[in-house]
Amino acid sequence: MSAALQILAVGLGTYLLRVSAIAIVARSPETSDATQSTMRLIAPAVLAALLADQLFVRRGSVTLHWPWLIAAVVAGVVAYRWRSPGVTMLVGIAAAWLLDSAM
Amino acid sequence: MSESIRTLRAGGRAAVPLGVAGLPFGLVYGVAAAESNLSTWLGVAASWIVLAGAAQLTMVSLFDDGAAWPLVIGTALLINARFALYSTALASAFRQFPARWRFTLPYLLTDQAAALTIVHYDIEQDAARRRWWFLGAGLTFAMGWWTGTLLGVFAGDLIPADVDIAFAVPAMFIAMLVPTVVSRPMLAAALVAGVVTVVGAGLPSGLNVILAAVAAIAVVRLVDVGRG
Repeated sequence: MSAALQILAVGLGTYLLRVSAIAIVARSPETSDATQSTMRLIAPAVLAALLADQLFVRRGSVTLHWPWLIAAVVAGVVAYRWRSPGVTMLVGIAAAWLLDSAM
Repeated sequence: MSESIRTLRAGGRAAVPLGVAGLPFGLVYGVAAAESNLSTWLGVAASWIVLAGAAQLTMVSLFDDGAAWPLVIGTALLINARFALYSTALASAFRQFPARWRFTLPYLLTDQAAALTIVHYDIEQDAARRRWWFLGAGLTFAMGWWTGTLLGVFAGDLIPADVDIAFAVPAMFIAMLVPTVVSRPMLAAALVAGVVTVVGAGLPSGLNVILAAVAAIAVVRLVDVGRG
């Protein structure tokens, strides 16, 4: 299968994943409180999993790259204190770059 | 200016920081695509067709490894399986939208758009404003991603070799995660998900992430219900 077809297949599959529950739930009754409480956990859980995968996992094994881990703590503090994605990104990238050159 | 356009712009403004953050992320992908054996136009087109950074980066490296097509498609969809979770989180809001919106807006459903929208829908209840806001936020992030891709593919050589922008990816997830954690159960879910992801490091790429997220949600809900 050519690369173009594979990209198209992934694009279509990804669209179906994105639309999945939205298409199904469209005709069902109002969601309960318990369902709402579960829904609220989705974003923190998925984002934390993606972040941990970025920080600790390289090619299927656990790897500790200290400059990145320290930069992540710095970025986390900045994100908590200033609540600005732009500032968090800039400080984080700068910290990782400085620490990578220094360590 | 009509209210729709005002709301569209408000969503766009809210997403500007993440859209700007999407630039270096797109740049990282664009450089990887340009250096791979993928043709230039296909590398660029993937950002429109798939619109999902982690999956696209993984596909490029699998293409370079000469991986078989079922592995490429399977891995990419596994990494993107998290979108079904976001779809679940937004379903009750989207069900108020007319079908033409309900089936087109999800194309713009990214980690960034989902993180912003889930928080915003707590304070915005009006269905019309909700969809215009999502359109503004989703498009703004996507434009950052598309621009970054183009820059990476066509101008990637201009980046000095010693400047490492790869940390843009985890930094963006930190910027998105921290504001979404506003309660103890959310903090617990984030911590459990992080630990399970690392424990599952040996699983195929993407599987550890989706398993960790589902496990964390299940554990925190069970503990919550157990406490009554």
